[in-house]
Amino acid sequence: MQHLDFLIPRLTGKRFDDHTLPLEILKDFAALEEMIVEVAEWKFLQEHSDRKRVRNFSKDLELHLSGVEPGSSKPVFVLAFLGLFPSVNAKYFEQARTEIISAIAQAAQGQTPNLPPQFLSYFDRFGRGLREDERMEFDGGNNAIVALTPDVRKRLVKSSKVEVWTEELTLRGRICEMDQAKGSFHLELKDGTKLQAPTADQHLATVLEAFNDYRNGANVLLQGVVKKDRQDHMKSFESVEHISLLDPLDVTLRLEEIADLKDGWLDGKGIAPNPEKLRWLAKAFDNSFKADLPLPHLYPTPEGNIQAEWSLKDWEVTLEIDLTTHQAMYQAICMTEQAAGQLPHASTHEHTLAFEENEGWTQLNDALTQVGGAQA
Amino acid sequence: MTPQTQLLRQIHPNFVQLGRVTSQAFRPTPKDENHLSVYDGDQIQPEAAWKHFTGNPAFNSAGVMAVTHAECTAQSLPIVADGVPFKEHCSIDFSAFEKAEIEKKAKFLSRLAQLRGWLFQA
Repeated sequence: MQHLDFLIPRLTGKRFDDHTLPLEILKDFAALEEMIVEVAEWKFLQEHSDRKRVRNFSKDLELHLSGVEPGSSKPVFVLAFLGLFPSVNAKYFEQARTEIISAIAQAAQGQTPNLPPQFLSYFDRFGRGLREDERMEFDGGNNAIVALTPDVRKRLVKSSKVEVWTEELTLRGRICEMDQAKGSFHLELKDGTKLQAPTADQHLATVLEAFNDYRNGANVLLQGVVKKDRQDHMKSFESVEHISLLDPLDVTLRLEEIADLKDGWLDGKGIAPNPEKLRWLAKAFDNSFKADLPLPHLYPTPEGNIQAEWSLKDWEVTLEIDLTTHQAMYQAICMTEQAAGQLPHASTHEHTLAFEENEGWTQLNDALTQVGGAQA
Repeated sequence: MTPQTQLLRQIHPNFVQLGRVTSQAFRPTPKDENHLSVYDGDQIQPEAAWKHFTGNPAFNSAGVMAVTHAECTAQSLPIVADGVPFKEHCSIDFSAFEKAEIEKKAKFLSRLAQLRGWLFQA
């Protein structure tokens, strides 16, 4: 097959920093190919008003991934064709590409896209794999860069006038119902929302275990595609990719509980920690806390901050985290020496850690390993 | 009061996670002028202390834990039987110490109290 360079988007975000492409993002490009073919047929029919339909329009024309260039990750898509020259329909593929990039640019600028809604509905799948801090950049011509972000994608889907759209989400909750005959279960979120999800064979054992442990507060982490209505309300899971039982000390779950506190939570005193700052801490823990270390117990402090605590063999460890400055006071004390009444001489480690920098997390991980926190 | 006298401490529900109590429950805040309020266990039983405390609708307690007079003395923490605002009230006086030292002593008291376990749980 011969080929022409067709599209070289630039993907940015942490997942793309090492110039590779996660396989799951290829699903998005499969949806893009479908959209390009549909839009190209529409462009063809616009030019041929005497035609009602097209037959074998994309015959001998396909989009192929030919490689990934660095910076951050730039997948190179080519238009592959049989024979020495591309078919005459190739020009409609190019027009389709331009129309789609224009639609993204219009949505990014807060305008209503010119592309008809039936084509915009492909953005339900194209762009769905992008995470919060990620974007796909396209050449908009005249040195302009057009960026598809999760927010822009949401605007495009809303412009498509679809009643139900989907989003890839990772949610925490408890399994409150299970129907083995229907092959489904319900995930109950902290706010009481219940979402139905299909039970795939490979997830059955985990679903059953979480369901049986519902009354003991067992929570799961569920990653999948969630159907939403136009008001952005979650309705159900379309599919489930991963499901796992959560550690009872799961940091995000605990911080979500603490986020519900109101001022005066401590017998009339006590400042409520700021929910946005708690989300920062949950994310930072998730990204930087070493996986083989035991998770801490977490408590609010009267000043509106968080204290993490570990009881590790003979050591009691506290970490008082200031959610505003992102600084933390680490203190570890050896209790056997304490109990022997040698407090002034007891082994104590004290440090101030800066969690704004990765170094602070490295110091915490090292300090906990040093006092016996690492698990085999 | 004897060295074995139990000093009863009310534990706020937000200071408990999966049954484990934070060392903060055994550390006064600067607003408390570095005095930690406890009940004199020679004068009142744990359940009665809990009922007395939660009798004020503004106050909340998941239950009662205790450290002994001797355990506080070993940490150089004086006990003040002040009897104010009620006759069974005592204070563990942390005022001679800086924050880091207070935190160390609170860890010690917290571990001892948790080894002793709940004396009353709501």
